[in-house]
Amino acid sequence: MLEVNDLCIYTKDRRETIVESVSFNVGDGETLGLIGESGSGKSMTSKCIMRLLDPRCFTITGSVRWKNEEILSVKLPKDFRGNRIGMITQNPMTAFAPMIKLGKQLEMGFEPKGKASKKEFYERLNEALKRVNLYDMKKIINSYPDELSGGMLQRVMIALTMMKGPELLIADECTTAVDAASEYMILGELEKMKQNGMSMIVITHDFGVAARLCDNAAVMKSGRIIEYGRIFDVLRSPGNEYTEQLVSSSMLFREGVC
Amino acid sequence: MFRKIFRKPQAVIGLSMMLLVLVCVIFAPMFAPNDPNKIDILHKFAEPSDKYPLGTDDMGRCVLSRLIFGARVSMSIALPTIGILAVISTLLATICAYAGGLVDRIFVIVSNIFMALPPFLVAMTLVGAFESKAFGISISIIAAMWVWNAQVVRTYVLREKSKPYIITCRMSGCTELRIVLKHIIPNIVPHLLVLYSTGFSSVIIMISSYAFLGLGLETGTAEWGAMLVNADKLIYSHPEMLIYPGLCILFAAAGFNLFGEALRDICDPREG
Amino acid sequence: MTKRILARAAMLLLVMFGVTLLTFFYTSLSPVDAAQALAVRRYTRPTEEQVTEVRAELGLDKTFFEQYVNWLGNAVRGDFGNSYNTGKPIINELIASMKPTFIMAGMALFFTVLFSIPFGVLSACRKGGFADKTIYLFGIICMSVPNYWIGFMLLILFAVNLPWFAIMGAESMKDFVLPALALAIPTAAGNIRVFRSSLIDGYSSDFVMYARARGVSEMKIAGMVCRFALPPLVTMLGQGFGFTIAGSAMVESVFSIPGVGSMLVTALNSRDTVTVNACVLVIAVIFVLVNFIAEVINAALDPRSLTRRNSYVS
Repeated sequence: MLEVNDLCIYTKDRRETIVESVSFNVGDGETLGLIGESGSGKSMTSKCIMRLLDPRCFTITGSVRWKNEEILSVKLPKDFRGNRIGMITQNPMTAFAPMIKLGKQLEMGFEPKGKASKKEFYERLNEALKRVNLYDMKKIINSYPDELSGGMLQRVMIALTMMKGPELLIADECTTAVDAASEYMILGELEKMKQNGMSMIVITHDFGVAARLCDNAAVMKSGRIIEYGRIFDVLRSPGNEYTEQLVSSSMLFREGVC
Repeated sequence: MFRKIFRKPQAVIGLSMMLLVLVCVIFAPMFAPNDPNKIDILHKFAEPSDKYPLGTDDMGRCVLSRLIFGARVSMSIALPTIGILAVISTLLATICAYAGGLVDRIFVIVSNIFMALPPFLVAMTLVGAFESKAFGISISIIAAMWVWNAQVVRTYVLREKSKPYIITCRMSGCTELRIVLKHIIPNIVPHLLVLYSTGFSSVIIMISSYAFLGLGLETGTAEWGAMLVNADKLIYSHPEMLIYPGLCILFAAAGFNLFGEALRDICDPREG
Repeated sequence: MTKRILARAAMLLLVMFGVTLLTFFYTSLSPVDAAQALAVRRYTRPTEEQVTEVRAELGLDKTFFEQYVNWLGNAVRGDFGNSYNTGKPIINELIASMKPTFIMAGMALFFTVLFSIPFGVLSACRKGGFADKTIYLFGIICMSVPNYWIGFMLLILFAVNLPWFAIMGAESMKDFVLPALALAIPTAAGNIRVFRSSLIDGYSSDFVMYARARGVSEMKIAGMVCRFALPPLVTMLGQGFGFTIAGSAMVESVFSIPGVGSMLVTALNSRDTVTVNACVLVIAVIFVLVNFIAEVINAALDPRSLTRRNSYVS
């Protein structure tokens, strides 16, 4: 479904290399884990796939193919982002515009026109919010982002994803900045979406999260992929020392749970 | 930080311009070919020549000399003004912002009132109240501008005060005074430099504006703004009398502005 | 919400009172004895009695606060007293001189907006490019010169060398174009920087990235960034209008426009404290009102600004 081949990202003047020679595949219904420490290039890779990087600041080479069509150098169709590939970002508190009420912002991705359409939209939103344990829709749509907690906002993002129903979801460190209860709920939802056939790229630095959700794993360090394979292969017999350290640093494995 | 300054061409250019003006101020007598106040009616509006490189004005005075000495007048008023302004607004703002609570609230309300008067207005009104003209200009500008500068300094202090390292300082037993002197102030100094560099150019422009309106200095003083006073009658015959002093103001103020803005880019870099 | 607006309005009233008091205080600092000056003008060599008479007539024998209250009470009713200079009621001359100043300032505001917004957008979009750098350089130059000098340059260019505009006068609208430009150019230079900065901040923020990621159209994103970036610009435009009116004296002098600024300068030079008081008060009140309007517009763009404490940390 998604094929990344020899992707390289440099700063505009080619002085710094951010990501080098990254290649991986995500098949239908598969989940790939991009694992690594902060600064290893995982987020940049995923932003690059979604064409969110400003070409004035970065030089990008390589190929990204979506369903066998090259998407790196062409003009993206209008409904590509959000509907084909979706994203959940790391920091929910800054993910929404601070001065616009949430309801209005949520409408923006959908553009319901006319009273009936709007009514239908809010009904769907209500359903989606209930599924992530947010029962007071009225409060949420009339609030500004800084009036809600990080966990709530993260759940709103998940609800949005459910409504859009993309074929591939990129979850960028979505459990890093939230409380344990929200993390539990988010991981549960992601599992459900995976069971419904959605492909995912899960970006995380925690092998525990990766183990739960992923089929394949790519370990990144300093902009390169240093290990790539099925998740349990990587876990049980890591190919190099760095991966070993990462694995053992995950709480789950330290306790000997797995 | 000094290395960063010298690596930025804009900062270097600005700094050079500032230094050039300073050199003119200090060594004016050496550079000026003639006495700027020497009146020679017979030779008024003379063409540029060896004796008068830029010609003479309507009273026969050497234009170039007046321009060079004009730097002295402007700087001698501007420097102490900005110095006192800096000290007053920084002190006041730091104390009030750091103390917080009621003191800060009162400061905000008082500032609101003072800021309701446009600075130029205040300065114009006050200038007339003083006997010694140059002193009057200085005090007026300080009285008018302190609020605006203090407001900006307050913002910086508040931002610094809420940074985590201050909490660490307190926990390790630092006294409040020490925190202010050793941590807060040194960390806002770069921002203050930006503020007062660009502020300096505003002061230069303000001084020339008062001179232009005849509100400050004695008539006939060799000062850039003052030289423009009678110039509107000359707009057809000798437009260059208008252009030269303005260019001097431009050079001096732009030097400070360029330096200040370059400094701002260094202190607050924006990622692309 | 209404509670917030009322609180803001109360603060506004408090500020207005403070402004009037401060104005009165500043003008009272003049070392000139107005009673003496007027007596001299009337009687050439006034006796002690005559001076005292004049003093009582002008109400200058009362205490500071009594004078202030009297003056304020009258001022609110539109009675500013008579000019020491001309002896005529100030209010008439004031109204007459406000008209040209307002036209000039209004036109200047129009030009400022006309220059600030497109050039700000252009600078931000072509950040780091040739257009950006040129606009920046031009901006620094415009901010480093007094507005009256720009006025002179405009005169030389467009009235002397090219006979498109008249040198002086305030008859038709055309006469106000050059002065308005002279006022607008330095103001716009500063505004362009601020707007550019806000736009760049807006476009590089997380919420724009996430909005793009979930498929929000570029038009809607532009709208969001505008709501984000406009408030600082609106504040500066409001302040700029006030500054323009306050600093109009110099440009009025260059173009011989009989506006409030000129009136003020004449009054200052002739120690006509009463007129000075009146002019300063009116200008200050306008300044406060315009800033209040700017705050209201910002509240529409960013409703949370009302609930934020008035702390200048935006």
